[in-house]
Amino acid sequence: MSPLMEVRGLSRRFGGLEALRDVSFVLKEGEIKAIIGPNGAGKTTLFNVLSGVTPPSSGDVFYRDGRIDAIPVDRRVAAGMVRTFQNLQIFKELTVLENAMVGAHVASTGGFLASMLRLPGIAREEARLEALAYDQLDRLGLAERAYHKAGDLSFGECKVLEIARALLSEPSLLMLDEPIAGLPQDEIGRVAETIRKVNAQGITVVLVEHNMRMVMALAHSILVLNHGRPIAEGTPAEVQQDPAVLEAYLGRDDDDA
Amino acid sequence: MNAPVKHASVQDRSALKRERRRSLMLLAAIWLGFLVWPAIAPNNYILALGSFFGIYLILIASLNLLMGFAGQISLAHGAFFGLGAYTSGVLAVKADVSPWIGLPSAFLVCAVVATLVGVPALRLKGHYLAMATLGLNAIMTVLFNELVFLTGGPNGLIGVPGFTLFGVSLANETAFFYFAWTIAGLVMLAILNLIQSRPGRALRSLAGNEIGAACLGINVTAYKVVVFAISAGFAGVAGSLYVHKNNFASPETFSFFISVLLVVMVALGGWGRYWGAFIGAAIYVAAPEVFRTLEDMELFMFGLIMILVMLFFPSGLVSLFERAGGALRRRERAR
Ligand SMILES: Nc1ncnc2c1ncn2[C@@H]1O[C@H](COP(=O)(O)OP(=O)(O)OP(=O)(O)O)[C@@H](O)[C@H]1O
Ligand SMILES: [Mg+2]
Repeated sequence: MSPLMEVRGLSRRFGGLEALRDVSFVLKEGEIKAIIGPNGAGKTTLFNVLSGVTPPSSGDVFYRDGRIDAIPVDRRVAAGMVRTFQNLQIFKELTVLENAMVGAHVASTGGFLASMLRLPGIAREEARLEALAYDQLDRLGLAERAYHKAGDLSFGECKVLEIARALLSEPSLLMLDEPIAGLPQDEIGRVAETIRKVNAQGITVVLVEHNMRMVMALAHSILVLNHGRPIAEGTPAEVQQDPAVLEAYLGRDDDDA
Repeated sequence: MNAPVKHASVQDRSALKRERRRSLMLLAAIWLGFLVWPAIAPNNYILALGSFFGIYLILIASLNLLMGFAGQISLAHGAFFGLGAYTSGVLAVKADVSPWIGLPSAFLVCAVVATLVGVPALRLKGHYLAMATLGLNAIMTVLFNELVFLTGGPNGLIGVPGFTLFGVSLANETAFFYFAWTIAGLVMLAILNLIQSRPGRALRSLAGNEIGAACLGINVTAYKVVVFAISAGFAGVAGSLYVHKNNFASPETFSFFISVLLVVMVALGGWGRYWGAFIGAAIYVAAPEVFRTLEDMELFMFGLIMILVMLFFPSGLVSLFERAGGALRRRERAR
């Protein structure tokens, strides 16, 4: 399989803290890659750098043959990279349905002038978007909440809404930051199933998750970060056996003291 | 704003279409209802207040679009009102340009100036636009006063001609009312169309959460600049209507104080509430008439009422109507 994304020597410092140190990996088109590691390992920071929210201190990111580490956040989404947030970025004042429709921003048309004049295509596009958004919410079990303000949702419902929104952008790369944290058991199954299904449809997935059952069940490959450094990479079976990984998770190694 | 619906089913899938139809009908009802104003207004003075209501409606609704919906604070809306008035007025007085050209020119000049100020100020997150527009209003006031050869300076721009339509003058109070009310209706329709569409949703989402919006592919800076330009452009349209109605413009009409007052009217009507602009404009027109009788107490009473409204109706006076509308709809559904 050809690489969809390649990360080379990525680092990010916050003052004296090295949140990412020389991270390199290749993401194959069509795979599910899990990124795991203890709290504070740098997983969210990696997502922030890949999505353009945080600039890297050094290193390159290639996506489909192009260097993207310097282009703005919104252009990366237009290029097919979309991410969700561990700590939620919901539009609280909009309804759940409207949130979902905003998710389809890059997959829809309608500029300022055409919208103000309500040119003939606009009403049709609005109806299409609404149906699309509603169906996506329905598939993820949020349809009953469609007309509520997103600010009224529970934490778990917000996490699901983030996934719905991201999928509506019709991405080729979906980056999920702890998608099932805080979700009830039956919802976890639904999200896992959704990830498997969209991956089968060709969407490449990067999954940050602490739930090892889910990671082992879904991931084709796993990258392990510890203190901002990649310490292991391989198939789930390989990573599970890796002594460095076991030590990072179980042993209290010296620089933690 | 939508009432929660218990059982989402297929029939609910056109909820936005229903919402759209409802708001179009309400807008049409308000617009048509006001057409009787010339018939019920007891005299020309009251009739003219109706025309000013239309002009201030454009001003307040366009400021609400920027502040209430897109979350960007402008303290120069009065200056754009003035820039539109002087653009249209000076063109007519100095170059004999028709107000029909002056009106779109006012929109354009205001939109261009807003873009020039907006591009550097809106690239940054935070309240840089408030700071920049504060400065802009001061500069514009100085220009209105000092460019005497164009604006007439502190004495004002005099002899501005009125609008004519097919050779017929619209100087007559009734004729101008219908004209201003038509333009106001079109602007209100354009704003309604905008907020009920893709760019409108994008604006409402970036207002509360720029990172979230950018991470769904919205070019946050561009959207902010464009909405600022449109908002300023509509203020320019209001200015053009104003100057050709009044046949006169003077700098103090467009002072910083007016900009602040417009912000207050947006808040009184309802921040980010489409219908709030109607209430804000009504107060803006009626308040001087009511308070004039109070003489020295005017500012005091005005301040007091403002505080009371913000205490008891933090989302604006429009929430009174929203509550009534919500109760009505619930009763309908119960039936
Ligand atoms: N903006 C920031 N400024 C300073 N330090 C930061 C910033 N963002 C992250 N960090 C630090 O970088 C380190 C990595 O944080 P990060 O959030 O990436 O970890 P994580 O792997 O996502 O952890 P978790 O599993 O708890 O979500 C932490 O020590 C964190 O405190
Ligand atoms: Mg994290």
